[in-house]
Amino acid sequence: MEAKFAALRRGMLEPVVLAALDGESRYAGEIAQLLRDAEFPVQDGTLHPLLNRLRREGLLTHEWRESPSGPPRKYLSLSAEGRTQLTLFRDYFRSLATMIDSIGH
Amino acid sequence: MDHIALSGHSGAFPVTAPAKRLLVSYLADARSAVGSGPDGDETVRDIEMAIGDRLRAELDGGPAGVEEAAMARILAETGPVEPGPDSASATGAAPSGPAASAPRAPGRSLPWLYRIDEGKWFGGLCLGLATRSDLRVDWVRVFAIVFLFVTSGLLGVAYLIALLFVPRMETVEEYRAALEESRRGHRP
Repeated sequence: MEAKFAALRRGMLEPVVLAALDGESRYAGEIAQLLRDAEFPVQDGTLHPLLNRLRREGLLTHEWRESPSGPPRKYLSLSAEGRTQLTLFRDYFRSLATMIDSIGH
Repeated sequence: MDHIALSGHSGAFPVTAPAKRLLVSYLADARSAVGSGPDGDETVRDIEMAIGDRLRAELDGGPAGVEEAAMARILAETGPVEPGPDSASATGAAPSGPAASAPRAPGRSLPWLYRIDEGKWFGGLCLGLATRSDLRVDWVRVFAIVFLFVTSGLLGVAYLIALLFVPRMETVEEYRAALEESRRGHRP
């Protein structure tokens, strides 16, 4: 069953990453930690290519900030377009969730 | 003990030779997975930075250098680089092997030296030299500064002249990948 859940999670990764940046700018490490805490683990090898694609598509903007330890960090936040897509994803996901409960009844 | 420099991190990380081999081959795989172009470069840079953070944490734990087993664990946690469903150009290039996706024709020789823009102090010559010869950039810079005084400024003149002739590259990784590729190309 875990493999099937994993397949579902794969499709949810993009909306979940957008949701992780809702109202708050974070760097990649924070996003990964947040997702781990939410039991939605993602590996850096998957997360970074996705973040760069979202940035290229204009859904995310970024800003460099100094970090107390180590090199400066790239803080990502949602652009207007990203916020719109997150809303659409959320609405669609809700409609899917209602559908799976109500279909066939 | 060997060393490896990673994007964004100042200084180099002490690693054992087998650990370095693991990391270099991981990064080569990552590079061929994301394909060429500024987007891929950015992704590889971000991943190098994330790995650097983990290596730093590992080294803070006590060991003088990162061992092979620790490196294997860190790379497994980082996971293979997946370009994702939408980057069609990268997925097309990935299975054909690293050399096939490369923009430079195999075997074509590189200019002797490049200077590097990202992370440069002045013209990026020391950084290019360090990348080319696999030395630590801080040592190359110290050596260059000492030599500048020893030659009472003559090296400075040579540096300025070199700026006119040495071509530029964006990042250390890009140069490292180009070097790797040209070495591969020269081999039969």
